[in-house]
Amino acid sequence: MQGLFGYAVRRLLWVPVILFAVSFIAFTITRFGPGDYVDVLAGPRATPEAEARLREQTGLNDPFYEQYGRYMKRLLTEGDFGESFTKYRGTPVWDIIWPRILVSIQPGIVALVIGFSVGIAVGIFAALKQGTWLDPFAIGSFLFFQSIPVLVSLPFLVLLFVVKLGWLPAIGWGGPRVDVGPQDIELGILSTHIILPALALSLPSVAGVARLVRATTLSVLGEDYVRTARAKGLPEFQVITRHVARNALLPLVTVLGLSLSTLLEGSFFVETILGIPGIGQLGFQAATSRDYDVILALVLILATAFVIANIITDLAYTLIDPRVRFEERRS
Amino acid sequence: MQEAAQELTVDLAHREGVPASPWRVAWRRLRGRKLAMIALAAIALFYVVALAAPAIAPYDYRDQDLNNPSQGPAWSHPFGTDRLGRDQLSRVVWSARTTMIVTAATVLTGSIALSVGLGMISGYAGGKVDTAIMRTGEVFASLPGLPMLILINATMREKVVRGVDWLESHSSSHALRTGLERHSGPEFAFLLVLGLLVLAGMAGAAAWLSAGEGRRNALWLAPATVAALLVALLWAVQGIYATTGAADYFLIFGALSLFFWVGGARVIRSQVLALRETEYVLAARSMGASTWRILMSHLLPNISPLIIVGVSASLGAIAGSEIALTFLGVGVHDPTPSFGALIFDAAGQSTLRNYPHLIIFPAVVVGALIFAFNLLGDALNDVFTPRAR
Amino acid sequence: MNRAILAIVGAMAALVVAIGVIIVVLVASGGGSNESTANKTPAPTDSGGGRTEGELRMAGPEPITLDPAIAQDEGSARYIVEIFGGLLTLDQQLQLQPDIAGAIPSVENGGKVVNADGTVTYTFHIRDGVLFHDRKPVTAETVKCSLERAADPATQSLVSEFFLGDIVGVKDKLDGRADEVSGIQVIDPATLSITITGDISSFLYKLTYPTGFVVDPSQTGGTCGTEDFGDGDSNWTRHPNGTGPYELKEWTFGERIVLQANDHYQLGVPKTKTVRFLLAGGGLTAYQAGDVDVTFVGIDDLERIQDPADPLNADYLTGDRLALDYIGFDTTREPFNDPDVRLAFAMAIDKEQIGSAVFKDALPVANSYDMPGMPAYTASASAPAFDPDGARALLEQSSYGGADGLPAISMAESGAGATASEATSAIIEMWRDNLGVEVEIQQAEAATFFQDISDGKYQMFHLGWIMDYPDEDDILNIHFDSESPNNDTGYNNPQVDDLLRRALVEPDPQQRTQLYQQAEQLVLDDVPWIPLFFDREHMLVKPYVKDFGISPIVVPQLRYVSLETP
Repeated sequence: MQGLFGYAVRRLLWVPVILFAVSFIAFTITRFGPGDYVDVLAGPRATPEAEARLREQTGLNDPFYEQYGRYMKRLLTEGDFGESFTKYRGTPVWDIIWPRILVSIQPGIVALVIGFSVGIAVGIFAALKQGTWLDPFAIGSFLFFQSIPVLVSLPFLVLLFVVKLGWLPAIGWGGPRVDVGPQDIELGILSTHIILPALALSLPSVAGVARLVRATTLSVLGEDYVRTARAKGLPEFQVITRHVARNALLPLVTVLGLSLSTLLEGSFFVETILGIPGIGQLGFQAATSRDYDVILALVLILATAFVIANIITDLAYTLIDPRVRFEERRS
Repeated sequence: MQEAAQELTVDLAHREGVPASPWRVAWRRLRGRKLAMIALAAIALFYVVALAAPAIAPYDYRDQDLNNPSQGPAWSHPFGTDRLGRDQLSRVVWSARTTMIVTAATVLTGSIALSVGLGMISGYAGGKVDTAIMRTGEVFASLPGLPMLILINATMREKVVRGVDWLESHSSSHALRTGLERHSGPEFAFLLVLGLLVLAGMAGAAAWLSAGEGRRNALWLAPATVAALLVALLWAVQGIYATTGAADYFLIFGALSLFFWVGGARVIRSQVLALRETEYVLAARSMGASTWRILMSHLLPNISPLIIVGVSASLGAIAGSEIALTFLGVGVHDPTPSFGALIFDAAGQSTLRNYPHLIIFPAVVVGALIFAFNLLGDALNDVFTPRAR
Repeated sequence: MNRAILAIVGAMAALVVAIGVIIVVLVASGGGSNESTANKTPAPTDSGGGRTEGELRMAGPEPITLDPAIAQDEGSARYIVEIFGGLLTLDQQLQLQPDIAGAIPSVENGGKVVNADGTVTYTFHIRDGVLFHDRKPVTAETVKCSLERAADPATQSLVSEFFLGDIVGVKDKLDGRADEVSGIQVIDPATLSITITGDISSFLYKLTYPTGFVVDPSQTGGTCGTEDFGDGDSNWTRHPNGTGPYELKEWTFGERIVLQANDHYQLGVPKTKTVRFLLAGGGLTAYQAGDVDVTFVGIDDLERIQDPADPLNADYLTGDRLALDYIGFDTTREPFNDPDVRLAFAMAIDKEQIGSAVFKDALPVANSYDMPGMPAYTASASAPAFDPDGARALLEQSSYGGADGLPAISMAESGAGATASEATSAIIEMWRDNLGVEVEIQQAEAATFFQDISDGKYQMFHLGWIMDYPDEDDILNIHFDSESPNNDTGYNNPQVDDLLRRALVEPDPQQRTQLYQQAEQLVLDDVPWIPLFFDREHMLVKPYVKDFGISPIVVPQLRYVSLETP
């Protein structure tokens, strides 16, 4: 275990460095390009003097490194992410982001659960039925669903379930309300509002999970201990759940990290098209309106989540694939 | 991978008594899978249609017919018309072209050049170089892709547009003539550099050809090859950047490559790590073969299957990204047609309610295309990694 | 090895379970109680619910801020005019009405005095019994402090100069040369005088815009009169204390805003007790499902709904808005410094066809800059008519000798999505077909668009203008006076300048109208702008909603709406 622990620690030590680099890059890009939030706010009725005044007051005229230094200092010593300018003027960024994160993860979690459970079931099913037409059919049809980008499948789903059938509520978000500090959020997860976004987000990952599960199940099925279990006369169901499943499902851990980023990309469109107040929608609006503090906060939070997910994934890889561990011993 | 390839060779050789290269074997297996063949055919068809878009499309994609807006499918307009009376079929065909260009360019730079190059270097060199590359990759990978792409597009687009305009005005054949006449200015310098590169490339190629077996692997060949490639690329690319909206292409595939290379590089790196320690490579090293030679003639052929699988797997994702970016307004812009734009026009609730044909056709085509990409990638994956039996 | 793997899988499972537990705990403990209100009914969900008595539900834009001094977008203004109030307001017919002031100051009642140095002093008497939502009284001092705050550079308002700049001393304070606005004087606790730099009749209208609204100094902080309120409440915009017909009961970002009637509103208690705005969602499907009582109609649904045979046709309501969609030229550089070229481009556009094909006649075609409903609007003002042959001939006559002589031309538009607006695409096509000119679309980013226009970066641009108040100075002087900072075309016509400046200070309304009409026609003939369309709102209103009006600009109007009991 020592090697593994050391590996983990080494990776974790890099995290702050990476996050610094990420924040620096994001900061540079936002300040580098044309236009700032004063331009966005200004519109046709502001005078150049007013704009100059605002720039001076919010420190936009200061040299780049000063602005960056100020931002990092405030972030690290006070945990203050700054204020929004163009979305909700004068509101602390955290108050805006935190409720939205809680809203965004709802379709995300449900999508993960659906994706994995359906994927596992289909994968094992296909592996068991290998040789018959059911195997390629199952995998093929889910591959089909995986191929349609969320962007394309979502209007379709809306067309079908909302417009034509009227089964699902019109766009927006609803559900029982819950106070989470800065403001209430609605737990759409407990209402019909969750169905469309979760469905759209889960479809792409189901096929990937199914194929992986199928492959590992197949390799496990050929192992000795399965044959032993069968020879012992155990019911097939027990064979599957007790022996096959446990080992076949391990590599899934490695897919979790990838699923996270797929979910994130998908959430942009889902939230925009369905009007869900999540961070995907916020991210896009902040980027196009140069809401610097919001952008940076989002980038940092997302990057942190991603880096940690990555580390977990890599650790899992290490355990599963001895060749990688071999490499770690050498470097 | 090497063992698997050898296994396949032995397998077939056994059966037919003829030694078959791993490539031929793989192709045979691929051929046997009906679904994959269909997918390949579909992709090929798509490419042909896309390349031939200017000739195939029945109407110009910009031709409006304000007397016939939002018509459903009819003989004159098989896919119907959009709100401005533009023929949907033509727009779909031209959008295919856009997708093709972006996908091809991104694959070339991101998927192949960057991930293979960096993955190999990282895996082979090890140590600090490895760590540096991998950590940089991690930084790029942890930057949330979509927000960064939006940001980059929002902030850098102008500069890229200006750059492309400059490039176009200074390297078209018209500029060539005037530059030579004037003997001055940046055009002349640029052309001079280009000319030198061409010369260097030709000299290098000549030397390589005339050299004997032993000298074919000299390291100085590399810059010559690169130079020649660069020149070829620039001239080929001239066709593209002369078209409108070229800057958008550059921006998209540049930005997409930046974020797409990490995954592939990681996989290639681990493969190279494993291969590095094989006797085959150790023997070559002890015989004094240069790094370049080892990389090119030993490692590269063995990781080629990985590259192919990786590329085919990412094709679908890249195409999807382009569509997504355009939908959000940070991909290609009007009037360059794109599926993202078509879907954007069709996705509003009231539009869906009244004119569903506007979404159905583009959605079906895009879905089919990406499905074909994925089928092919899946099949290639199976073909190159035989199941443990 | 198995044990380690099990450990990891176990950790993952535990994580998922933990998240589930957290959610359950949040649900159980939350209970949705935020602020103490008299309303004890359980918070309804925003959809799938039926009507709650006395509550009007509609979709609404998301505001950027609820601080009247810094708000400058229509979305924020919509709520601010209901929550706050100023000395004067506008009614649904856009007539000036006194709000916090007891009467509109005029020469007749002695409230308006033209001084010897040309400045004009308005004297406002504070209405009896005007109270904040928390029943604090409003005094002349409160009004002065609110105006001073708007003019304070520390408030960081970008529009205070635009709306309050006429007041003597405002510019000085904004530039830091003075601590107080000399033009605002408190005469006694119920009397306030405001002195402006000239006889600018539009000034009273400017007071109806949020920038001049009254805020509670105990919330905003600072000193007011003799009291020092320190830093105030940094979060005050989430629970503002105003003088408007409605109180803000709740603002959940991205989801809803709930307004509750102010039961002591000085101009009459609102007939509808609660108004709930959905910040996301709404739309025809929600309307049909009964989730909202009022909705906007999208263009694609319009044809259906305008058909008398459709059941929804009975709910259909339409009203004109004071807004103009136009194409502007940079008249200072090639090729549009040549008026013939501008005219040719204008004559090559068939607005009627675009209006019917693209907009399904939802928007009226504009042949003037002034909109119907404005005081100086006249149907006889005429922009260049569609004449493709004449356009081509004109182009040939111009200094470029025809389409081929023109340099590369591009049109900029603020893009917020994948495609350029349809009208723009159609117009570009018309220029291609009717003039033989290839115009490129430049989708500029909203962030830099206005700045770039003022910097003269674009040859032509597609833009819109929404009136802030119903006076021509807000469109004609602002954009066509050669010295106006908001002149986006560089248009310079001394004759027009003269007419506009005279109209600005002309006290007689009829004379003003004449002057403005003359000026407008001159500008229309010069074509620095091609007027394209006016704005018209299309809505569906449930039959049990009475007196819902579509007002041409943002004015407080919710208090007139009443709901029939179900």
